[in-house]
Amino acid sequence: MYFSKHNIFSKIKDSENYFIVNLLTGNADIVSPEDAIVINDVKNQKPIEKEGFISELTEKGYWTDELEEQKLYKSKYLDFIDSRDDDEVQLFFVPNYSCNFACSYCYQDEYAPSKGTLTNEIVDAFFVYIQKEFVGKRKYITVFGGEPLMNSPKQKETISYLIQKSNEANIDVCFVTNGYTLVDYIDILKQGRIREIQITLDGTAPIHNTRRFLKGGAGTFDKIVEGVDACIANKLTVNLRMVIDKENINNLSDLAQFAIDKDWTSSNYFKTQIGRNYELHHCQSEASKLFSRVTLYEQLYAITKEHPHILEFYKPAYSIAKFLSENGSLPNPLFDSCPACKTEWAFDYTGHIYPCTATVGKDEEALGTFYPEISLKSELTEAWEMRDVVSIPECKDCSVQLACGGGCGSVAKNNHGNICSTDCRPIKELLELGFGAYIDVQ
Amino acid sequence: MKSLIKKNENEATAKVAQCCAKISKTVAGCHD
Repeated sequence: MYFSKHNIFSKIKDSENYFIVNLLTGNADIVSPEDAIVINDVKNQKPIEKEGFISELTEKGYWTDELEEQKLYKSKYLDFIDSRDDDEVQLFFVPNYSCNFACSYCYQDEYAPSKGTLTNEIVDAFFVYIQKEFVGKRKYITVFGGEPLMNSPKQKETISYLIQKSNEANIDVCFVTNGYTLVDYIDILKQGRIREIQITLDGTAPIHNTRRFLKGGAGTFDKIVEGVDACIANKLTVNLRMVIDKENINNLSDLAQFAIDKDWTSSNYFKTQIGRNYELHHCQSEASKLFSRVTLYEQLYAITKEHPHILEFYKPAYSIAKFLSENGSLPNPLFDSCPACKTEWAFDYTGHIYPCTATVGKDEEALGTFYPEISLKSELTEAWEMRDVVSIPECKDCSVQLACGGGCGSVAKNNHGNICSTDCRPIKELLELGFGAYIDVQ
Repeated sequence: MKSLIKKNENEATAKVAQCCAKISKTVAGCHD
C-alpha cells in the first residue's frame, strides 16, 4: 500500500484547513490542520495512531495498492479514449488572415502575408472534405481569422456562402470576431445555425481603445458594444472575451459593472471568458506586463474578493475547483488537454490543414491540404494524435497529471522542440486559490 | 476529513470533463 501518486494535497488559501483531491478515484476532502499532520505522517510512512483514519484514506483511494491503482488508471484511460471518440469535433475555418485591427498584442502580426483569396470552389472543397473525413462525427465549424467579418461586399458574399453551405450540411457555426462590423452582419448571421459569437472587449472604452484599435489608431469600443447589443437583441449568443495582462486587469471590475448595467449578464444569450495575454509564438515587446497563470489567478482571487460583482460577469475556474463546488463531484480524469488532431482541426482559405487554432496559418505546422489536392502527413498527424499524459514522459510521475492533461501541444512544441512534451499547469496552486474562493471550509 | 462529494450524483454530470476546450469557449483556450 502507498500514498497514491494521484493525490493532490495542499493548504487552502486564507484558511487553516487543507484539501486532498484524487481524480482517479473521484474523491475530494477538506482536511483539518490536525488531520493534515496525520496525512503527512502517512505520506512519510510513519505509524498512525488515529483510529479508522487509514480505513477512510483507503476507502477513498488516497491510500492504495499500487497495482490496483495501475489497473484503475488503465481502465479510466480506456474510458477516456472511448468517450473522446464520441466527442463533438471543432473544425476551424479561416477565410482570411487580414484584419482591420492593429491590436497591441497580436500574435499573428509576424505571420507572412498569404496569397490569393477565398473562392466558393475552396469553400465547396472544405465541405466535401469534412463531410467525408468526419462522417458520422458530431461536428461544428468555428470561423476564425484574421478578422472574418471584414466590411466589404465581397466578404459578406463569402460569409453568406459559408453559412448557406453549413445550413445545407446541418452544421452549427461559431464566429470569432473583433466585433467591429457585427451590426452590418446581423442579417447575414441570422440566416445561419449560429451557436455563438466570440467577441473581445479588453475593458471599458478608455482601456479597450488603447489596446484594440483600428489600423490608423481609431477606437473601437462603441461599435463593438453596439454589435453585442444587436446580437443579444437578435438571440445570437455572445461569448465575450477579455484578454488580460497587468495593463488592464484593474479595469475588470469596471467592465463587469458595465456589462451588468447593460443587462448583458442577465441575458441567456451572454456568457464570458477571460484570456490571458501571453507569448504564444513570439516574444512580446513588453513581457513584463504579462501574467503567469498563477499570478493571473492570484490577482483574480484578490480582485473578486474586493469586487464581488465581478462574479456576476465572470467566475474563474481555478482548475477543477469551480466544477467541484457547483456539481458536488469531480470531473473525469483528464488524460489529455490538447484537442489537436483529436477533437480539433483547422483549415484555411489557402487549402491547408493544421492541427488546431494555435497553429493555423503557420506554414511549418501545416499537416496537408484539402484543396486543390487532398494530402495529409500521416506521421506528423499521428504525433499530435498520440500526445497525452500517458505518452509524455514527464507526466508519468506527476501528481496533478489528471487535472492538467499535459497542457497545450503547440506551446509545448514551441518551448521544448517536440510535440510530446509538457506545458505544465500550476494545478496545486490554482486549487489552493479555488478552494479558498468557492468551498465552504468552516 | 469532510468529503466534498455528494452521494448519488448524477453520472451524466460527473461525466463532464473539465478540459479547457469544453468550457464554453468558441476558441479552445488550451493554449492561453
